[in-house]
Amino acid sequence: MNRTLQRATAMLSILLLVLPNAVGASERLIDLASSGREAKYTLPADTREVELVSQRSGQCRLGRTWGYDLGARELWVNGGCAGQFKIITHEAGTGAPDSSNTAAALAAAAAIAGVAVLASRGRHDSDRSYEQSGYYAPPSNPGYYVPPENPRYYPPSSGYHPPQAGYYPSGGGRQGTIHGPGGLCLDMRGDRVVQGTEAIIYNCHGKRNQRFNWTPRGELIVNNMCLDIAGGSRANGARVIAWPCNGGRNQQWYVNGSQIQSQQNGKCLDVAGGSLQGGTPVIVYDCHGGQNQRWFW
Amino acid sequence: MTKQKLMACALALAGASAVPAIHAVTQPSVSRQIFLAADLNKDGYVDLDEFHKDVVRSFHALDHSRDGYISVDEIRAIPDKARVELLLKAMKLSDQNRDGRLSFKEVVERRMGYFDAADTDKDERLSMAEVVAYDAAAVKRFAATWQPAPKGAKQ
Repeated sequence: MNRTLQRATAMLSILLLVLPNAVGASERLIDLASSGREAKYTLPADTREVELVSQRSGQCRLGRTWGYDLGARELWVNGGCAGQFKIITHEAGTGAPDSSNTAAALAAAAAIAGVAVLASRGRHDSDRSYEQSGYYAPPSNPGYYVPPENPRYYPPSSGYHPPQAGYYPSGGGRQGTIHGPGGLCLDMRGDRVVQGTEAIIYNCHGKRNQRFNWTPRGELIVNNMCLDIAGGSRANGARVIAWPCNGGRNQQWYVNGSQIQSQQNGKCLDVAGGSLQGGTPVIVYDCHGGQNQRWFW
Repeated sequence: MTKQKLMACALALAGASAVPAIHAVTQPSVSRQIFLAADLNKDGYVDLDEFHKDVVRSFHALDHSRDGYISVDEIRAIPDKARVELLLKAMKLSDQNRDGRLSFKEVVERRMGYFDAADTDKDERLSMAEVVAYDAAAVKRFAATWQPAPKGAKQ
């Protein structure tokens, strides 16, 4: 059987089913079967992950008889594995972040690089801390999450706040500075935050005009005012200001990776013109994944 | 102050800032936390699917531009300079084709290799004990290569 024919056979065994979904068409189910040989399916460009929903025949083992490569946009099965797969695409989340994305990014980097390759050269790396806490303590035991950092290594001036309760703590209520591009912080212009004060980026100092509190609804409270898209404008370049909280969608935000997006229209909190100068206004703009739309907290 | 004294001070300062950062990243508690985050059904084991899911989730957490690659720029965006440098060094090891960025495939392959190596009892799932023991041994191995090699030694 030649390769083209193989592919054609594989394609024939694919059944496409698009699931209706509240958030939008973010999931779809497909059937893919290998009859001993490898079969492939081309994944949509915005695929986030793929799950095996049910096995139809053979032994389907991830990384062994089935797998996927988001770079090559390819889902594959072989060795007789046949199953139904769920393709999950990127979709917007809602509301406040459930953890610091700085800590999450570091944990992700350590997980990807393999924590083991981050070498120690000292004898300081005794295994004391895990011997004391035991391997199998339940995760709900707060004593189990030993903060990995010693706070004294990170003076407040470093701008880094070690996570206090593990890498993936749950629950909102995060408060603190929001770091933007160029080592600058999201800031409300001037020392006083009043109705109409403009959002800018500025050197990080952590005073009250840089301390933001996420509410569970996704409001960003700074000095008792809400971060607000001026006049509820839907335009690119709309100004972002402080305004008394009124429950409007133009005052509600959600986190998508390191982007902060408006619940009103999904536009991104953006440093105007991509300028990394202190004092540059912060606006909302179509999300493009650029450096001037990345925020860490 | 003499030149030697100044040099000694500089070295002491450099050491003081570098060692704690390395220490902070390599504590076994980091291994444990990564394990706990990956153990989605909280049964005390990370199976193949959970492990893979964690790798994919981690990949997306870092690929801000969603171009399917983790670039140096994306690592540098993390506002924690001391650890960023360490992570960049570590991530170079996964960059098989040396193009200065990590593809999805490179990341998944390296991590699946880790899974197989750490799964010492070959039951296709990782226990906390397996992860901590494997990481500790690997840190020791890597520490041996971390020191600048003496002159003339094989790199």
